[in-house]
Amino acid sequence: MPFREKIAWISLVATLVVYGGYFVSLTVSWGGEGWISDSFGLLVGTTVLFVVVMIALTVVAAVLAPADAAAPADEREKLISLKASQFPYFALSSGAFTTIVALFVGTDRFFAANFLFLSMIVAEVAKDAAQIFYFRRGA
Amino acid sequence: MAPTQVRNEIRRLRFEHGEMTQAALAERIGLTRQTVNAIEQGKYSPTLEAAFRIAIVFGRPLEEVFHYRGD
Repeated sequence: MPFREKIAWISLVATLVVYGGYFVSLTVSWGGEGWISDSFGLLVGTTVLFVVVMIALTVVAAVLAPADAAAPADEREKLISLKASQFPYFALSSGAFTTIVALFVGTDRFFAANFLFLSMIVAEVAKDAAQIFYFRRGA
Repeated sequence: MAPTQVRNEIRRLRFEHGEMTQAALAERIGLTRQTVNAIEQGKYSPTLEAAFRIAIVFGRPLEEVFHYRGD
């Protein structure tokens, strides 16, 4: 498996597990006493955890295949990255636009902020999934 | 993406050149082994520059290494 496909798998799984946990916790605690301040701490903690997990797993992947990790992306890998980048754009722009409309019609700011954050996560998942798809099917 | 219409003789040429491995070919042309494999299987059409580099490695004209089978 190409090194950059491994990184895409790592990012996909880490994003789904770590941020999936965030949104599950947020949903469970929604509306409880002090939940907004608690959820901010949860967001910061989740992001730190995500960064740590990504660094750790990327280092492990690089140690297992040092030559692949050191090699620059070749033309096919660059093409895959470019093709996959169109998907997060649509997810993020749709989420941002929906958030703007929601704020204009008076939706709760905290809900809107989390919806926008969810759009970012969906965009990341879309990018990773698209990369894996192109690596598997051919580009 | 649909498989490419560009076919090639890379596999045969590798074996005619001392059973050259995909990794060895990849190193000589500056691509990854996985990309050479994708080219060989018709899953990826290389750039013109990469195609020339592959042909040069085998010492053959481009048209002897790659063929277009489109309509």
